[in-house]
Amino acid sequence: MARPYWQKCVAHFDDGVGEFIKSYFGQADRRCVLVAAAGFDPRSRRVAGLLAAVLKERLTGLFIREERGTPDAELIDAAEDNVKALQADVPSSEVVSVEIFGNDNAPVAGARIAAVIGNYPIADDVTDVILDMTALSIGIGFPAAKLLLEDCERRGTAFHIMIASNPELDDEIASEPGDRPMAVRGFAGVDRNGSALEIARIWVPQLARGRSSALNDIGRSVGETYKICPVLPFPARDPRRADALIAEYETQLVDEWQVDPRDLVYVSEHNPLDCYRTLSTLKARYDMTVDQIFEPSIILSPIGSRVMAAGALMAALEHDLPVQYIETVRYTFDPNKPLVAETSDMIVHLLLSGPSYREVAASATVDAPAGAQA
Amino acid sequence: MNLLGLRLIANIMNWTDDGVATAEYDWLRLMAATKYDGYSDFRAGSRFIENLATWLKQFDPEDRATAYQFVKHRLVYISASEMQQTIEAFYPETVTPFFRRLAAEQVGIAPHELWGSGEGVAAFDRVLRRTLFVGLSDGSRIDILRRANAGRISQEQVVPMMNIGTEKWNDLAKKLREGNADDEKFEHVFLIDDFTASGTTFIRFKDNEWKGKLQKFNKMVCGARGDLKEKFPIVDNYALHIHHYVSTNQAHNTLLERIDRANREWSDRTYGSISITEGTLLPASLALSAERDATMIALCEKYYDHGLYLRLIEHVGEAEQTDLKMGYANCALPLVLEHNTPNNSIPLLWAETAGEQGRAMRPLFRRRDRHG
Amino acid sequence: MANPFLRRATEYIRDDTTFLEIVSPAPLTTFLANHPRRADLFDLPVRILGAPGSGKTMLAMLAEFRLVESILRDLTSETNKDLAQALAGAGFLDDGKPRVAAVRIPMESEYRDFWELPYDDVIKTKLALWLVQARTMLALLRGLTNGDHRRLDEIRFIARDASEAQLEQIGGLTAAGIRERALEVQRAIYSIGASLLPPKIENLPREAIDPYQPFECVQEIEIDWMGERLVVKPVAMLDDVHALHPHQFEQMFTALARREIKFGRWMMMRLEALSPDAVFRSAKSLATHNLQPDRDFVDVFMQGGENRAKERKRFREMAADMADRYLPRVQAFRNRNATQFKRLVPDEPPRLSEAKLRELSAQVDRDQRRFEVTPARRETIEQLANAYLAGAQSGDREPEVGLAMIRILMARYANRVSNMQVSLFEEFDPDPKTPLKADATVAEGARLHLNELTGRPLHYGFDTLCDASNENAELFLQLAGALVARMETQAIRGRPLALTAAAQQDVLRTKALEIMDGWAFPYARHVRAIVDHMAHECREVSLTANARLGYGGNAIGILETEIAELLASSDELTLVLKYAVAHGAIEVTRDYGQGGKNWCLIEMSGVVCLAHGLTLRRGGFLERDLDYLRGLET
Repeated sequence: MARPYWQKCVAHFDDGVGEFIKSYFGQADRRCVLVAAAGFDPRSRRVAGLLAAVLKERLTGLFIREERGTPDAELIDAAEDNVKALQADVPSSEVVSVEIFGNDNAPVAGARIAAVIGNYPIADDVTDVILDMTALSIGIGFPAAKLLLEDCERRGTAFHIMIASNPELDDEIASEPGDRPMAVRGFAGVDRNGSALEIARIWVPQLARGRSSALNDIGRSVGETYKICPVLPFPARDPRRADALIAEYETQLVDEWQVDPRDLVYVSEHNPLDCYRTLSTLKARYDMTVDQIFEPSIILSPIGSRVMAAGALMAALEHDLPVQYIETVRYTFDPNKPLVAETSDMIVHLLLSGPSYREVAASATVDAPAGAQA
Repeated sequence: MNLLGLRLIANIMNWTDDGVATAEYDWLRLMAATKYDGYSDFRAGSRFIENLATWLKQFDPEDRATAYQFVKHRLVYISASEMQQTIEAFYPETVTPFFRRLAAEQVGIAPHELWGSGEGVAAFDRVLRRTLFVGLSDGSRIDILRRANAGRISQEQVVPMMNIGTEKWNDLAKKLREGNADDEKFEHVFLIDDFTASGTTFIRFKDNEWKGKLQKFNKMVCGARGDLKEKFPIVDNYALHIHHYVSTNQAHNTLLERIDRANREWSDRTYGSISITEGTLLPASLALSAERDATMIALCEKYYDHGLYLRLIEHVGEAEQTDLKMGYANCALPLVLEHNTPNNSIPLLWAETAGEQGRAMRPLFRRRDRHG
Repeated sequence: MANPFLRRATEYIRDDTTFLEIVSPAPLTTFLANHPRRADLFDLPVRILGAPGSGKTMLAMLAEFRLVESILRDLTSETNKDLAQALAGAGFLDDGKPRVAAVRIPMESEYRDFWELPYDDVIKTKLALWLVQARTMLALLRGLTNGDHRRLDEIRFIARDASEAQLEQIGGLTAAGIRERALEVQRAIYSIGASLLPPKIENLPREAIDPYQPFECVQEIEIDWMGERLVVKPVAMLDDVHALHPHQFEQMFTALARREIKFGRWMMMRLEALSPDAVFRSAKSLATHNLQPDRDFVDVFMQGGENRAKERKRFREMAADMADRYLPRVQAFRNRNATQFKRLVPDEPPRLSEAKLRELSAQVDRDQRRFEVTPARRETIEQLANAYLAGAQSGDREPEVGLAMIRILMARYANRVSNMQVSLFEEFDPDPKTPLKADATVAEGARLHLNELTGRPLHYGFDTLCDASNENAELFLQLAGALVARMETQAIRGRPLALTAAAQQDVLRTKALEIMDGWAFPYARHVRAIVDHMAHECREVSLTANARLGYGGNAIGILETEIAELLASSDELTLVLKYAVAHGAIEVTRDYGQGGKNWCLIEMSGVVCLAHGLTLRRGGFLERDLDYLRGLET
């Protein structure tokens, strides 16, 4: 489904999010459903807290607990604390456990979350659905976003994504990747097996600290590519972050993927729309380039920062791009260890559908620079 | 592949451990290819590795490791692709949200409702059409800005230079009305520049006088309005927006402070309101600090030619500092932009001197200096 | 500059010519041509089992018809001649012409996803099976027409006798008809598998559920080959079938084992897909689904399973061949005439400096006094050591090795006579009951001791590099790649490329640690804790003065009875060990008899041995039990 108005997507940041919540959700006729993670992540409570303070009993919660094997005891404790706090903030809520791995240790998160969302009743008087992607893994968050967005679009209601992000904290959370790279459920892309043309793939991995092994495996599963365009955060809160990632991924960039340095893609660590716009432009131009010669395919691997992942999500939804990832078997994180640098969370809000776009959705004019539209 | 260049660095750095050398070669080659070789002052045959060799040699052998580690771990180099990112983000991230709020206000709805209202969309388009974008220097890269926004900002709304003559003003006015008969004058002006470290170049009060680009622009508007009278294409009390692609935290705060004062003191102020925005805000922690960078600061002291300061005084004729060891306005930045190195960065990075008043300084990223 | 050795994924190599230049034909010969059931490889179902990096995918890519054709079309190059010979040996060619048309079908997680659909097992299996067949047919047509070598109408499918009734469901026997039907099936099934909310069973499209069995209908394919008609046998190489759910695999395997099927069908899988029991190689666990190995299907193990000495020798040959193919691609070595990788990592033994040698000699003298060894006894021991060194084949016969051997033998002597009665009046110098022996185990133990005492390099030389790779080609390339990077540094510095023993050891140890630090697989943290602890203990015991483990230890032994019990249980430790084996942290030897007991040896992999300074020779182990392993888990 084409959503040209996403080029004008309404977004808010940091203090602006608080103001928006007050004025928008402060309206007495708003009835909202919040879907969020109830995990160990210390940021899990931020968004729910902001919303609950304004919406009070008009907010209903569906909290997802991602179950992965046997996590460390501190993480279980942290998760349980978060669950209690979320339920206290949003009394009208339920907590649902979702198994990330099947009994053969194969990742099954996508099918399981789809069943949970598919069976979750959203009342007719609900005006807004908010997906808090802060602490949802992409295997859960992406399918949930797709189902919720499509449902909201059918009803003509508003769908929001919110994220509390903190790149410095992300660095402290280590993850043990599983051993099977795969497409995120619902994000397998267009079936190109029947194409008469040879498929030419561009793979767009998002580089993130400590994830080189996972990206290596994902890259291998993608196979032969026309190009590999790694994504780096810029502007970033730490202006050296991109350079540090380049150094960390030296072997991959130089030997394994043989990336042309001119193909590095810089997107904002702060604003998901930047990533969305950049990928949309890449998609439009690449399609034109290979038209009638090759079958184009752009594969995204937005592991790491949720903010950039949200932009990738929008691009994947809009252009039906495949998303290849690898599930995390176990997280390692010490909730009690102070951060190296004390940093605050950045809050992002995106409004992706609903009456707010009535006018621009209907009009043919599109607010995008030339060459950015397919 | 430049094997000799790498051997050169190894000799200068006296890397006896081959394991160290192997790792450093890989890093040097990668970073040179990814970023540093693109520095606009570099020439064929003498790119990053060569300039690094020249630069490192000026240090006594025992100081070279400090200098090298500084490049590896502290230097912030904003490459052409990164700069392009901030330029392309200017319209969607700065202009659109600002005008969305403004247009919503005009039609009396909430900003998030704007795209849902026909009246709102029309108001937004109107505000945008009545906006003039002015580049303040070469660094504002108006060419990239234009290309990135082809189809949404008209060519006639963009002026690459601040010095706008009578003929150009008339032309701007004509094109504005041609675009839409309802549009008489510009209501918003964006002044765009690449970088500010201290805010000084933009606005300063010195010797009982206001100086800087803002003052120049204001004066120019005053003059043109006097000449053109009713035909001058900017409304009275227009909204002025100052946008830097890259700004330090310090500059952002300084600008707010000084503009606040100017608002109160300028009797000939042409604009009604003013806002300060930036594409990327560099954190306060970027500048070299005594606790974190003591060894590098020591090098800045040791390898210094006071002639540099004298040259600056001669051209600028003013300074609130007594030496230039830590850069202009003592900003102590480790920053290099792809098209030039700011003079607020530590001079060890950019200065080239004959050594008449101290050590002869050799630049790593030679600065193209507007002040000579 | 890209280091070709470090580019692990050959799958990335876009260009066939480049691929053919670096691909080694050795696995074709080793695993297929020499397989006892070579004749049945295209008739019976075949399981090809190997660890990640053992080269399964590379083998499958090389065997694809598309590449076979491009090899045969250019036999002027030596590379292609070698490859053609190996292909012929493995049965892919007959009289210089293709005998089979093979295609590789990656069994991505997509197929596993079908198992999550809310349908009956039979339906789910059918959907996956039909999708595989449809994709195989499409891939075959792509492979056969590739590069406009032949048109669709020059390809004719030959039906199996008695399959006429089924012909319609596969789209007939023309290439165009088969293609169209396959496309239809694949499109319908793909959309079901990829959907977030699958259709209700009653809403499944007809294209997805109508019978479709090309594997049973088609027996051969007739194509045009250089102007003549040629009949080839179709082979589907299903890669990475371990991604399937075990029950799903069982059902698909049973379906594919049907005797009616005339297609060749290979299932390439990782060892770890098997149960932990099977990963630990107990023979009976290989039987599956009421099917018997060798009778109903053939297993090809891409490593292990054969005599270890033979296996190591074979791997060294293959690795040398591979390394020599990569070498010319290193840009910094151009014009340096580096053609043999082996020569760049010489096994020339390191020499101790005179000063260190004197220090060592003094230490041995001190130990002589400590062990209360008489000068006469020392002389006998010296003679023993010297006689061994004089007759030894090994290249490392430096004087310090002799000294360290003497030290070990003196310690052993002291142990052996320690409980003999001391006479107050004579000099105490009895002959030990078990006579001392100086052999290769003592010499190897001595080298390990020297490594500890003097920092003398232990790991260097091409054979060490190969042995440390545990017969894993990808790992070999990684280690070799690190050495090549160091050689590049030599080139940059204008020195000879060949690395000294000390430089080799330095590189290998650093790289091994880097590999271990990068372990990222399920239970990686546990595995790391276990091997670090075991390795530490092994090193310690290996360094006891009398070198009681001979060569030195690099394994622990657990009684078979205990292990068998563990494997039968659902203890998480079995998973930890399974992943440790699958990802090359440990190796397992079952039923190892020693001291009248039956042991399961858990051996540290080559990388762990490099990182921790352990011998790469096999056999030295510490006797432990399961509680010990459990205690190491955290």
